[in-house]
Amino acid sequence: MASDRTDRFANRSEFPAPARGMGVRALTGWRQAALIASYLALYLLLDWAGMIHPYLGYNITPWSPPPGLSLTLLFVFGLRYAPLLFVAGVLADVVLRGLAAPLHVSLLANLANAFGYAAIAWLLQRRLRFDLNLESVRDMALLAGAALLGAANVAALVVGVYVALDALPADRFGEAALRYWVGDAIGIAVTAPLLLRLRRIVRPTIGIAEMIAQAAMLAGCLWFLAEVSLLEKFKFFYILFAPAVWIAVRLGLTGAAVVCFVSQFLLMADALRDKVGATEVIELQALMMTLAVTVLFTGVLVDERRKQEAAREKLRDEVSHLARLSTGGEIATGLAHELNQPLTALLNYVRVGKAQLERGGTSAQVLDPLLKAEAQGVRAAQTVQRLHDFLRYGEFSVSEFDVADAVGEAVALVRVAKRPSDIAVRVAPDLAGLKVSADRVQTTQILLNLITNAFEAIAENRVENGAIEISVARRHGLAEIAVADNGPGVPAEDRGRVFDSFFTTKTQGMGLGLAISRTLAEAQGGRIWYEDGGGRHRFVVTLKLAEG
Amino acid sequence: MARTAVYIVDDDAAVRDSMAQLLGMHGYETRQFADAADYLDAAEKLPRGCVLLDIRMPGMNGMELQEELRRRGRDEPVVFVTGHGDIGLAVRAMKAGASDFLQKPCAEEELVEAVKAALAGKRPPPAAEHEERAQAALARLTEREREILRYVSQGLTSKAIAQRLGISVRTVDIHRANIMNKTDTRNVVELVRLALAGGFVT
Repeated sequence: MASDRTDRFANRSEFPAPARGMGVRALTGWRQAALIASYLALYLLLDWAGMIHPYLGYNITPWSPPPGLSLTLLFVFGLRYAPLLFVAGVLADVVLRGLAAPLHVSLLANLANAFGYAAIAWLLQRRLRFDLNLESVRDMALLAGAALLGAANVAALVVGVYVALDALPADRFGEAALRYWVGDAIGIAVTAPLLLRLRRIVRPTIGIAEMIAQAAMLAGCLWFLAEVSLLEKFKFFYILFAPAVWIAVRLGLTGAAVVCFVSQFLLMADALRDKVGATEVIELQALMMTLAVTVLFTGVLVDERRKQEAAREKLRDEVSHLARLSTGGEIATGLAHELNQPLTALLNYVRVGKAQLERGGTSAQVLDPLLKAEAQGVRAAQTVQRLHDFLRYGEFSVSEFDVADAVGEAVALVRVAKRPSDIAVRVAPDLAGLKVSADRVQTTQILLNLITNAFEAIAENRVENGAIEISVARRHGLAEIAVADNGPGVPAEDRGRVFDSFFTTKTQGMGLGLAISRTLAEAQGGRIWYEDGGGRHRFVVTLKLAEG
Repeated sequence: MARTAVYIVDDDAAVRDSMAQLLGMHGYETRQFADAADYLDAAEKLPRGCVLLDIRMPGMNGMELQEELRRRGRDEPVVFVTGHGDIGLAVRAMKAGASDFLQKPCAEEELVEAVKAALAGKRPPPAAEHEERAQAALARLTEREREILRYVSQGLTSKAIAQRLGISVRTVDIHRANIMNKTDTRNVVELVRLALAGGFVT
């Protein structure tokens, strides 16, 4: 039952070695040996770093990063590495603690620990479709659940083993289990997100200067907390939230994970140095957990929002491309005619030239029709080019251009689509020379939609002496382009809906033109609205003026 | 020389001028008019000739000009020049008494032949053999194909035909291709000519 989710990610290029379901990432030979060796080494290192207040010398500490590493191993490389958890645990007991507990206790406790985390990994990935890329709030919540609820169960199980084997008095069960639980929970919360994120390093989205400022602020806060008295550590712990949230908001989950990891390790190193009591360490861990949960979720939310924004941008480009294609279909009919004209003339001129040659005309008599034919060929090519430019699928790209050019292009395209027509299109002369900063193709699309609507309003209502006027004004630091017509205008009851998708009053049409126009206008920082007054009505769109 | 006068009415200057030059090479006297009204104004004083008329024009279109000429009791022969997608108009024009219609861009011989026939007062398809050939070709069509040909001759688009018959546009297009194959026609104009000759369009 490999999950669809991971299969889907398998197709994405940013995951060159994807983990599909469990145990799929098969490693062979020395690579597997290297993985096992580095896991064991890292496990020992983390366990050593977390050796604070071991309960009765046992591996029961209020700060225990190895479970984060172990869960990451199982998530990424599969459940088949679960026995390694057992091996690492026993090894650490022997090497770091000199077998404080009898061997059979160590063996059984580590077996319970390995079994517990394997069960959590199995539950998350197989049953709950946990996505180890931590790209959604749901996945983060699952990991947080594994840290809090999962670790609580493992703690009860492992400490239960100690008690059952008489290594621990039964009345100390609660105290020991609490310590074990807190240590594992915080260990998972600060270690797993970072390790999972390290699998793919993305280029930071912010400048190096800001990152240095963030690091400096974080370091300053940590240094302050390290220097002050224990009481003040609790009192001023909140100052860590400032750099942590800043980093999470700007750098997403990766940044948040780094903050949690670094803060936790430094605070614990400091607690070891200052010989802070076990109860205080547990209380400090509770604060740290609050910080971790806050910034990790903030980071995931930021990532999610960025991803949605990117998806929305892509969708907008696609919609605008499709809209152009559908307008293009209408244009294509007109285009056949538009191309026929120069082609007809071109062929005729060539035939005239041929006939002149055949009857021995002078070179001037031959050259004249040839030059005219050439001009018609150029005319046909321009028509095709214009349509091609318009239909081309383009990424949103802002450039500075003359409004008059975009208006001229849109008018030419409408003329192609709506030929022949008696409707007069007047372009106000004050348009000349006004430069805007926007996406050129999308601006043309907006104008095309507005002018097409004006044409259709006049044609469908059989308005005598139909006329469309396009004017431009510089107002409030923006370019305001207005398309006015002498049709009946938008009825009062429809005004609130004209920009809605699939709302249309036309006999033909999808009701998408104005909705798309609004999306496109807003995407480039402009606005679009309908106004009515003094016996005239018009659609107005604003665009940013070019600099200078 | 009444027999060689051709009046070209087209809103496109290049098309007009090139037609005039080409027909000039074939010995015709030509005059150009940018719109229907210009021709109507001048028509009374001009010697009788063939009118080469663009169907789609701003202002009064070719069809309307033809009607206006008939209303004024004028009977000069009219040859329509049409773009794609104007078959319906062309069929109507033929029924209203046009000499012929051509599709842009048209072959040189086609243009010259049409003008020559129009000035001679003939109307294609003239001969009985044409009619027979047309009948024979049409006889090869299935009932459905005839139905579709009838709609095509009325100037309906594939989409409109599909809607009327309750079938897909693609099916209509397949039928149309089959019709052209069976009748050995290369384009819609030829097809409509055939339909006219076969008495399919009345």
